Amino acid sequence: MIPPALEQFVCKIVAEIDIFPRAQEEIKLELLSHMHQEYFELQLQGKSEPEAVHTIVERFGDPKNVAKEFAAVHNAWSRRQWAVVVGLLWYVANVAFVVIGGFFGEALGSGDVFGTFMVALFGGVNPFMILISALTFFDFSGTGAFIYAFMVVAMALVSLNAGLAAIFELPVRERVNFVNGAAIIGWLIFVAVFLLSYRELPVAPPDVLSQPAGVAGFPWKAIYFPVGGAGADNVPLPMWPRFFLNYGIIWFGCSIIAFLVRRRWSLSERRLRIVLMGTIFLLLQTLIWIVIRFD
Amino acid sequence: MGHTFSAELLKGSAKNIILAALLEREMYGYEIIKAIRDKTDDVVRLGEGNVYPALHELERAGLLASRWVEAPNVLKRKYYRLTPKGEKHLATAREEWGVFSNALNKMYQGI
Repeated sequence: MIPPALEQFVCKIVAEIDIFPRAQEEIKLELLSHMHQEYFELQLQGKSEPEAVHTIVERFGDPKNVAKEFAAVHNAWSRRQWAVVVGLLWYVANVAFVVIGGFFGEALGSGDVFGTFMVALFGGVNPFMILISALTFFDFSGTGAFIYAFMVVAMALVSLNAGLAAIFELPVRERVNFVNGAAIIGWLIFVAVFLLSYRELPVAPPDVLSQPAGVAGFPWKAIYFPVGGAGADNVPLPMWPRFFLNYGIIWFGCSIIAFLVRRRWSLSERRLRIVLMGTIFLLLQTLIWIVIRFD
Repeated sequence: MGHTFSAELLKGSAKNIILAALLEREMYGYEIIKAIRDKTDDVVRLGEGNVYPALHELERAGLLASRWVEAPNVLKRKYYRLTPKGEKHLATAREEWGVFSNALNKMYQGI
């Protein structure tokens, strides 16, 4: 057993490092492992417990300085600073979206400010956005490379699915226009964003108000949640097997691809933060979109 | 016995010393510190509180890679190893140091 004084010393260092808990835990374990070995070696040299503890603490130096060095390495941003950035981003996103909607609403589709563009952009990802935002302040630094790669691939497929679904629903002559261009750009943005992401897929795209019944076919709407016809409360039973089959195919495919590419992805907190900023920005737009549609 | 070097000198060299210690095989933090002492005949003693942040920095820079290893009767250990990028960096640093120390020796001649 390592003396409590050493454990307290390590805790003191770690508590000063304002990084995500998982990363803190790893530093703690690494330092404790060091002290554990050093402590027993000092004891073998004939030092008493207080002497050994004193020597180790002295060799490590001021815990505040050690913590400062760790913090400088791990991230310049503290979680508090991050919270401020997120708050500001929400505000900016609000303003930007209102302004964009005001100026370009008509151009984005049928008098509906958000129209097809927004359906394509956000239709498949609302739950994902909500989830990722909810996780913003939680510890997710321990996400493994496989899970990460899996999510990236899956998200790319989902995004592709959402963007193309909107386009292929249209008559052929309308497939190439500004709105579709925007949808494809939206898809590209999503792919780019999620190529940098760690988080989980949406499992039930919620665009229940605008989805017609019986169109959920692979691959374009593979992960669209099946919905009944107008006014129906229940999803027609025959839709469920197809939904789960599509869903299974997507995840199975993602698993294979993720397994193949998992070693190519690296995890970093900075990258994650960039992703989160992007996704929170998109979430905000999505929420406004939902509110307006219900209105 | 450990020699007292100026903080600037150590700060500028610590990372390269760590990289050099890992040239032969992967090691965990405590082992690295001991290896540096042994290899330099106890002349270079890096502060233990500085070695770990430096290791993390080198890992973030892609010069080192790490893995956790479990062993019986001890806490898990984080082993570090040089990456190809780290090896390249070390080779450049060694070359630079050779040129620099030669030049410095010439300057110090006769003092």
